[in-house]
Amino acid sequence: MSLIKLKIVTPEKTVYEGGIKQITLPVSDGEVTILPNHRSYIASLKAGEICLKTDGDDLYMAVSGGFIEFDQNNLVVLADTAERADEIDIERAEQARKRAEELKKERIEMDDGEYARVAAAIEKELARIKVGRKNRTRRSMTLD
Amino acid sequence: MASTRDIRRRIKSVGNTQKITRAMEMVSAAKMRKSVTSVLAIRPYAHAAWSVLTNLSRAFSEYKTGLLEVREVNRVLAIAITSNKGLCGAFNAQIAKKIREEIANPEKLSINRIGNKKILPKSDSIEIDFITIGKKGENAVRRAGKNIVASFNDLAYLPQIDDVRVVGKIVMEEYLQKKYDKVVVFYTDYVSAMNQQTKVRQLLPISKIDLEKQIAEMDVLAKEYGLNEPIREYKVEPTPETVLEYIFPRLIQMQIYHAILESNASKESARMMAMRGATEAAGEMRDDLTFAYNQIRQMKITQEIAEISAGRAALE
Repeated sequence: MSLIKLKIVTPEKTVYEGGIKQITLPVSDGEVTILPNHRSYIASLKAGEICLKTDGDDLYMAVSGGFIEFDQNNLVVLADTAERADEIDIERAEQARKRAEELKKERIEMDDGEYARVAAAIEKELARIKVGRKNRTRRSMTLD
Repeated sequence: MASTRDIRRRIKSVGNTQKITRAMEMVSAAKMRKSVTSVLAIRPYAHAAWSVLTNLSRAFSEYKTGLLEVREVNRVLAIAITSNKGLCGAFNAQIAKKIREEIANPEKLSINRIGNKKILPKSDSIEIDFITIGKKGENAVRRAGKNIVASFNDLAYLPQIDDVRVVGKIVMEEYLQKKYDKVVVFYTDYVSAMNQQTKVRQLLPISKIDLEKQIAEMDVLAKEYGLNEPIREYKVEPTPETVLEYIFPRLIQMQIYHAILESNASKESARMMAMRGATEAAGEMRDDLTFAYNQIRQMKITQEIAEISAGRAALE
């Protein structure tokens, strides 16, 4: 079976590079699963969870917006930030979310741009927390 | 003639300076290595963003408003990237020189292009305002008597892309409000440890030629990313416009971020070279002083011996 050549990049680093069998992404209109030989596709991402299946195991990641380009089994994910589930520090993500929410409450008279930024930050942290939690429960299940 | 004590004191002080400059050289070398790594890390992102943009180029060429709108140039916004501290050779002086040149001779800045067509400004004189990153640039711009819109002096030495989001936001807002008709960035391109070049690059209006040039400069392997391949039909979700609107701010941020990283790498290598020069100069100076000191000491000893033997001779 052919594989998808995946590359997940952020402005700061390349997070993942390799062949995968299947990937599920949070795009702006919902969720999309891409299998090999999918048609050429460009879409924008929203904050959420990426789930990718490689030969061995499944990998989960939290992203916070960006866009993707798929063409001839080459998939490029351009994310603003991307983190692997096992790298997420849930406590810190929780703190960051609280800070962002406080910011939102404190400054009611924010201009639209700032409001959007804070809202995006909250969404990003929520996605991180969700992905991190899931990873934790999965790990404990395999241990039992 | 200086006394031996004075010379000894100077030898010691030069030695201490040498220790400091040597330490600074090593610190800069380490920082430079990190800066260069982060410059390299941004390349895949730049390529990928570019590739998406090329593949959307049909929508790209029809879309002529907002950040793509090309106007006659009357007012220019320039971002000047310098360091906060000195002791880095000609790094800041070069940027300041370039700024003075462009202010005195703004022909290049006053032309906007669509493809190969030039749009000439109506009036001869254009206004240039600045956003400065780094204290040294702020001072230079102030001396040149230009208006500073915003000044950022507290960037970390390895900034995150989040840190430049504000800069990008200001730039885009001002452009969309038609306060400025062109946005450029003054930065120092890191070619190698020995060679850095001061450059001016256009940020807005977003121009395909400029972006292409930049990406090609970043990497000769641009072909690998399909820059020369024919455009294929893509399914675009939700619409090409929304994706473009999403990409443009990120491209601007990325360009500013990239310019800052290049400048950082240049700054550290300039500082490293300056400090290496200083360390060598201090070493030479110490050798000279030691030589002078030994000469004086020798002379004194000779003199004393002469005096003693003269005294002896007088007694006999």
